[in-house]
Amino acid sequence: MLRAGAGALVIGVPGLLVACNGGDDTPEGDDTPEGGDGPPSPATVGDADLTVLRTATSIELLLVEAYDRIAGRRRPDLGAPARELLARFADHHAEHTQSLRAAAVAAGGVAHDDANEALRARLLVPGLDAATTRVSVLAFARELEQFAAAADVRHVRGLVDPELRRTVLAVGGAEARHVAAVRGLLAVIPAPDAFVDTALALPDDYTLD
Amino acid sequence: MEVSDGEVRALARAADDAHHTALAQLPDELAERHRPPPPPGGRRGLLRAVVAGGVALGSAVGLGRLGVAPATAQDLEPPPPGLDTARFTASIELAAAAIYDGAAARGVLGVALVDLSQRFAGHHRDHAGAFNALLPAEHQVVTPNATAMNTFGPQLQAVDDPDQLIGLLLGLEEAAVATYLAAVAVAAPPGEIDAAAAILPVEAQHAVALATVLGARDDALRSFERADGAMTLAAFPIGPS
Repeated sequence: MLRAGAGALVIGVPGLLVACNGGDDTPEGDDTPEGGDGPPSPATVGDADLTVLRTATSIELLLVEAYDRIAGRRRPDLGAPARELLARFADHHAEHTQSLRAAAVAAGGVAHDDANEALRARLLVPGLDAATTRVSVLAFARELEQFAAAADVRHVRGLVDPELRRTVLAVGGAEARHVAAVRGLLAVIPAPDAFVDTALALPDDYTLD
Repeated sequence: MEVSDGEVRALARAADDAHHTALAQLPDELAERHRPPPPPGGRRGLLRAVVAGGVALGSAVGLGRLGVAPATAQDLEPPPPGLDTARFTASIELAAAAIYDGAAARGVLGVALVDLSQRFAGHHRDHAGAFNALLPAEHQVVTPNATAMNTFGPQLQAVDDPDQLIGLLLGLEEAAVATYLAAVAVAAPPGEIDAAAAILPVEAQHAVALATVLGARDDALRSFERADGAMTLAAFPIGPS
């Protein structure tokens, strides 16, 4: 859902999304090196950011779906505290979805509607299959939230618009809190690492066009 | 308290290896992504953001909990260009580490919470190290932010109740989260954006851990991070390097 006329391609490399413009929207005489450290051209900024927002939205939609499917199960019996916690996470992810969709529209794009298919196959389906006990459900929730938080940190790095960085990091921080809460239920230390490990969000085959 | 001392201590030990593995990788990553200082005026990202985001102070568990006077519009002056961006955050992180060290040394907390404080102090030192890694050696920050220390130090010494002490640390973490969220809201060099983005979620997790100790975990589970309560350069100026 690139905007008309845009020829942007987003290439994922560890820690960085580099926008490469197809040329149509590059202002004549713009000699900014593609993928370099100079300021991106205005056309490239918008397209790259919209790609990030689409991908981030698709991840949030997938997490909503995951928690809905967990909530729809009778077994395993998670117990009320865990069930309530996961329901709260689902509400948060629905809010994140709305926030990211709104940000995309405000940036001149289109609100994304679909959960991430690549992650459904890689994360959701096998995760649900393996989540047969209370502990494995919680471990699955931890995995989902760790992935989402790590992906958001990667996305912040790729965003050009400063306010969008805040929008996405505001989501990523909340997801890191989810990780800490689930780790608490699993009786492991809530905050073990000094830095978010963005490798948890790799491979980035889930990045949308 | 919902977590026993023994559980916290054991879990903290178990997590230590993973923490240092992640740490070992980060400076290289940051150094690789960081570029030499741009032309004058270009390295203002984090501080400009901190200043810009510091208007709306007063979150429930933010600086108000610490008794820090909220920044006002008059405080929000543009920071000078140059190397102050990473230096500011490094100084705040060193202060956070020192505050945790002080909390651990008070003799108020149980063994497990002392251990937890020391772990989190280590994280903050690592965060300071990540920002210092972006700076030339002569500009790296080795002393905690003096204003932060002067503000929090007396409070630290004044409380005798473990919950109050944990509440103080919780407020510090929430203020740090707000500071980083404000920091990424304006353009900044890639290395600084990377560090702020990778650190904010961890300090949010610290907040959840501390809130859990207080039996208030759900209060710390918010749907979005907020920038209100951000520390500002004007309110917490950098000392000499």
